[in-house]
This record gives sequence, structure tokens and C-alpha cells, in this order.
Amino acid sequence: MLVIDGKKVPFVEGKTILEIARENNIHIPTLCAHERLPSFGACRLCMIKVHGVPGFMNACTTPAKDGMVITTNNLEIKKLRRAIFELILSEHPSSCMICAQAEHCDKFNSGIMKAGVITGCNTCPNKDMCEVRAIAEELNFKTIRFPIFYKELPIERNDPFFDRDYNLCIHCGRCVRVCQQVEGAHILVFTKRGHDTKIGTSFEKPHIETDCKFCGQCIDVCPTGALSARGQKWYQEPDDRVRTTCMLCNKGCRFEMDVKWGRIVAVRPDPDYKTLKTGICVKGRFCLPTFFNAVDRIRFPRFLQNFKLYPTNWDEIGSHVAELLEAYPPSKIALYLTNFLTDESDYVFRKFAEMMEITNIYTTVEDLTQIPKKGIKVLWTTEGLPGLKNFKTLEHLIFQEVFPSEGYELADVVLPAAAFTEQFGTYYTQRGPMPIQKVVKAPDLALEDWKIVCKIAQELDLSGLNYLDVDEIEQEMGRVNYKQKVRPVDEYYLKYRGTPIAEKVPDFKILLEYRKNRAKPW
Amino acid sequence: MYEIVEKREEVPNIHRLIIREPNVAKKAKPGQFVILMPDEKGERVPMSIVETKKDTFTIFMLELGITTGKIANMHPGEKLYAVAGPLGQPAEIEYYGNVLLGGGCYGIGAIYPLAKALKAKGNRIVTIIEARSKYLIYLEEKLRIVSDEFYIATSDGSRGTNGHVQTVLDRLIKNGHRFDHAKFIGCTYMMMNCSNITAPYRIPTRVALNTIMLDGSGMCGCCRVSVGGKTKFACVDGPEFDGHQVDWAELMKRKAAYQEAEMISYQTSPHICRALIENYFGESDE
Repeated sequence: MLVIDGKKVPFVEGKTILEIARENNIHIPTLCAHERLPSFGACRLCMIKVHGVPGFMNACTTPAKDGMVITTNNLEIKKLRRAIFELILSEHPSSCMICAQAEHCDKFNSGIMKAGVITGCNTCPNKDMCEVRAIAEELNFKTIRFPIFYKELPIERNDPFFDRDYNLCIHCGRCVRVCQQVEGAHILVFTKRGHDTKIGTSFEKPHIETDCKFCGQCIDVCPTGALSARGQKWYQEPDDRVRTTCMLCNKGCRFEMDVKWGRIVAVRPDPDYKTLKTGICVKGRFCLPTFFNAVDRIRFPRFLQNFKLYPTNWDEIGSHVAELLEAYPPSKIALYLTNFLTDESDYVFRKFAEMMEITNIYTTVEDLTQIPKKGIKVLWTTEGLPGLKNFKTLEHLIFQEVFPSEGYELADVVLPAAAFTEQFGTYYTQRGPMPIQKVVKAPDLALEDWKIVCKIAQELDLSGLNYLDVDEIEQEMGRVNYKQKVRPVDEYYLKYRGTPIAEKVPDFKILLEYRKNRAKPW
Repeated sequence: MYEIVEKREEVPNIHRLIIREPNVAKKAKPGQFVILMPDEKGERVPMSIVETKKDTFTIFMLELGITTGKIANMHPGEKLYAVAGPLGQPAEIEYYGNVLLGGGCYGIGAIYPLAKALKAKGNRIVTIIEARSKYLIYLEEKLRIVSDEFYIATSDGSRGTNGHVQTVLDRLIKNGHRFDHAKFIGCTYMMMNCSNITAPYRIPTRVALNTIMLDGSGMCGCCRVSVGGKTKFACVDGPEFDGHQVDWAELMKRKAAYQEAEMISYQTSPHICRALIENYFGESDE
């Protein structure tokens, strides 16, 4: 039994005073403590008084002992805590926190205010999540007695994906701990000593020169705006947060996406997903929003007429494709199914092929060698493919993709597909079948792959391919006992469907190019 | 032409640029501005002209988003893609008597040519500048020379008065200072607050608005503002307007029109990595 602020709480062996206090809803302000990280005792805000012990102790680093009597918030502690926090504030650009106009200014300047260098909260991308601000509010800070000190450190922008402004850093050491103890990467360390102490890499090398994996976990745990993802800031409060599974490879990582203006604006690892010990990879963490928000997504169905691809609607393109497929015997038609189809889309495609008696179903580039052998005339591909122009027998190419990737120029029908963040479904991964959630709406007329098949099946008067939603497909898959396999897409696969990720994400291109001589780029 | 002769980050986030463009240098009058484009695809950003020399002019640029970031990343000797100017109406410079000048942010630089011109007309100049903190104050010496009275306000109290231009202004008026004319340049919020202070005392107040602009010649209408219930174009009718008649709420709303595009452009703009590209892959292709 412990007594904290006069409240009797159960003693748990091996836990710190802070942990026990939090379990019992006793609030102690902290900046450096983080539930995923080992105790550190850097910020000293959690100072408490243990009766019978001289001086004050850190709640976050002091192991609880049975019978302890603890005070967390008397006048003396309050005074001490305020002074400690005031020292932190005097070295952090905090003018907006103590500004007399703050409330009115926030109301008037409710939009997003950007800045190259952050010198106050109202241009800080971290404002809405800032833990320093929360403490300032809690302690009701209005003035700083100490001299204000700005470190004048240069902003570090010489790495892909993130900006670092250590002028905002409060030396809580969370990034160092997450890098060392969670990710096991040991890239970030405290460099220099004393008043010059700073976070950085060994010898202050850019991260790209180190073994940094660009997992972005340092950004996720930073309580200030010192670390920020370059393409994932300045959106203030997101409209929505949706969790889904990554389909860029078969690992099955879960992540949480921030949505604003109907677009993905930020990605971070799913905070609740227990099997995810380390961070997500650079592709998921940093490339995804840029990739799917790229301006050249395929948005409308198109068909070739007078050497030009004309945009049209689904009704017209549906009958166009139906006519095209009916004009050829099934033995002259081939389907290419990409590894990036959801299980449901894959199933619907295969069922469609079975009903149409199409037996030429290709899933790898090697399978394409059968095109000349079998004299295939119509290829319906769900992925941009290399070298299609070498197959002289091909008369028609139906191109169902997210981007106009390889082979697009040969297409005479273009079908806009939704990306995996724009649909519901399941994806069979190394972790088993994982749910895919719709995060945002697909652009313009783009549709889920299975819906496209259903549209065309309708025009062909095929019954049994008229699903309302993925649940209906899933139920049918269960009834017919359809088994899905793990797709052969490994962690370092650099494409989504037929599009190299680096082609749409300039920073990723830099990373790959710079590290091209390494066995693994991250 | 359009060569950046000198570039220095005066204080964090505020860059002083000297640009070679004889036509602007020859014709610019106090209160006028230029529109800059760093590259062919860049947006157009209006900047107040602060000083002119024989064939060069000086601006103080606040680094905000992608485009100003591009300019901030340029080196002396490099050339801007385009410079249009001088644009807008020159500021009203006459003999008024006691003139109050308020500047914040980039406006600390932008009020300097006004102070100089008004001083030359024989006015008595009282200058108040504001910054978030002491390390963000620049151009102090030059402003002191042209001002009869000079005050500093910081929102964290690290220098001068703890507060803003309006705090000092309010105190001065209450202590019996009389002003015959006032001009404010800075963020929209600051200009609004200051105009609200001078209104009850009927001090004629002029503010230089910083709207979104495209061509700067009155064609596109991007920069429209409501002044006294009438639609005006900040580029050709302004940038100086009567601070007591500006519809501030509408102005703020219009300035936020492209927030989404501004944020998304961060996802696709490789230029910020320019230092990296140059370090490791030789000259960037920009």
C-alpha cells in the first residue's frame, strides 16, 4: 500500500511512483516520460516529496516502495516545478504561450500559419499536439522571469523526409530513447556537453549517411515541433483518423492515417497494434501520402479514338469493354492479376475469368512469355507491365491501374482503379488476413478493382457478379472455401502495382540513389 | 537582370535580399512593391520595396511556405525568374505633423522607407516596432536615426515593453501624445488591432495590406478587399488603405483560400532538399 496525496493506492512491485500514480488517475505533469520508453528523468517536472526522504525525487525514475507516503503537489513542489518549467521555456521559442493576445490571436488567425523557421507557437506545425503548451496551460504561465535565450542553431533540412529545428528542442531525450531502445538503431545521440548539449547523429552527419531507417518514430514521440515530417505538417487538427493495413508489401504493418480535406496528410504506426515492436518502414511512414496524392493519378475511364484517349463514364466504357471481350474467343484473352489486389478483388477477377472461360491468368512478368506462344490478342492488365510492345500479337490492351505506368501508351482502354487506402477489403499477409479500411474517397471516377469487374460483368449479362459490398464477397469466399495465399511482395519491393514509388516521391528517389551501393536501402 | 546581389538571414525567418533590377530601382517610390517569381513554376509573391540604390533594390522577405522557401534557398549571384514592379500606389507622403509608424515582422523593414520620406517632409516621427522576442528585432539602428521617438515591444517581454505595437500606442495616447497620422505595416492581425486603437481617437490610419496576388496589375482580382463596403484591388488601388474601413475578417478568410494546396505542395516539392541534392549529387537541376 502507498499513500499518494492522502489517497491509498495498491503497491506494485517493480513499478515507478509515476506509473503507480498514473494507474490510479493521479496526475503528475511530465515532458520526458513516455509510455513506450524507459524512464530517463530529464525534464524534472515530475518532482515529488517522499516523506522521510530529504529533498525531492523524480516520480518517473524512483521505484515505488511499499508504505511510501508521497505528496505530488504542495506549495513548495509547485514553486519548484514552475521554476524548472520556466527554465525550459526560457530556451524554447515560447513567446506565444505567454503572449497577452494569445487567445484573441488564435481565434483571428484560425487558419494555418506556416514559417520557414519557427519562432513561436502560431507558426509551429506541432501547436495542436504540443506537450509544452499543455504544461504551460496547466501551470498557468504568463511571464518568464529568466532571460530569453535563442540557440540560433541552423535548421537541418539536408535529409529527405524530415526537417529538424533543434532550437525548439527541450532535451527530453525521447527521440534518443526511441531510436536506441525501441528501434534498436542507435542513430540519434546527445552530442556535445553542458550548455551546448544537442541531439544529433555521431559526428553530426546527415541521417542519410548513417544507418537511419527513416522510420520516423523520433518525430512521433517528440513533444515539441523540433522534429517534423516535411510533407506531413501544417494541417492542424485532422478531420479524421483511420487505421488500416499497409499493402505496399506482405508484412502486414498497421498504421493510422490523418485525413484532412479528403486527403491523407500524415501516417504513423498504429499506436495500439501490439505486434508492431518497431516502427513502420520509410515507404509507409513517409512515402504514402505523397504517392497517392500525386497529381497524375488516373481519374477517368478512357478509350482510344482517333489516336487519343478520351475520358468517358462507366456506362460507356463498360459496354465498350464488353463488346471488345465478346469479339474474341476466351483462349485469345489473358488477364494479368497484380499482387496488390485485395483478396476480394482477386477472388472476383478469378470468378469472372472462370465464368468467361478465360484460362490465361498471369501473375508474374515471366508468365507474359506465353502471350506469343498462345497468340493472345487481348490483355487485361491490372498493373503497368514492361516490354508489352514486343508482343506483336496483342491487338488490345485494357489498362486497369492507379497511375499511367509502363504500358499506358499502348492501352486502348483505361480503367481507373482505387488505391488501397481508398477501399475496404482484406489482404492476406505474413500476419494472416488483415483488414483494409477505406481512409479517403478515390479520386473522381476511380473505383475498387472488384467493382470495375462487376460493371463489365453486368454489361456481359453475367449473373452472380453483382455484389453490393466487400462483406458479400467475403461471405461467398467463405462459402466456397476460397483460400488466399501470401503474395510474393517483400519488404524492399519498390513499386506499387506498376509504378516505382520513387517516381512520385522525390525524397525517396534521393534516398535510393544515395544508398544504391548498400545491400539494403534502409 | 533579376540577379540576387546579396542575401542574408537578418533574424530567424526574415531574409534581406538585394536584387539587381535597374527599372525598379529607378522608378520605385516609398510604399510600392514588387512581385517575385523564383522559377517558372513558382507562385508570385508580393514584397515591399525597402530601399533603392542605383540599379538595385532591397526587400525584407518573410520565409513562409514553398515559394519563399525557394527564394531563401537561392544563393547570391543566382537569378530570379521574374521581377514585376514597381507596383501599387505610392504611400501618401505629406506633411501631417506628428506621425505614428507601427511595424511588425516584415513590416519593420517595410516602414523604413515611409519613415525616411515622412521625415524628409518635416514630420515628427514616432516609431513603434514589435517582435515576438528580442532576437527577432532588426533594422533598429536605421529606424532610430529617422525616428524622433522609438519604441520596441516584444510579446515575451524580453526587450522594451511587454506586449505589442498597440500596447505602446495605447499608453502613448493615454499619456497625452497626439498623432495627426498613423501608418501600420505587419501581419493582418497586428494592423487590425492597431487600427482599432486609433479609430476612437479619429487618427487617420493607413495600413498596407498583404493579400494573395497574381499579376499585380488589376486583372485577376485575387487581391480584392472590401474597404468601406467597396471592392478594391490591393495591387492597383493599394496596397495602402484606410485601416478603419477595411473588412478584416473577410481579408483573413481570403488569405486562407489556398491552405489545402499549400499543404499538399509540401508533399511533392523536392526543392527544400536542395542543400542535400547539391551536396551529394552535384548541381541541382533547378
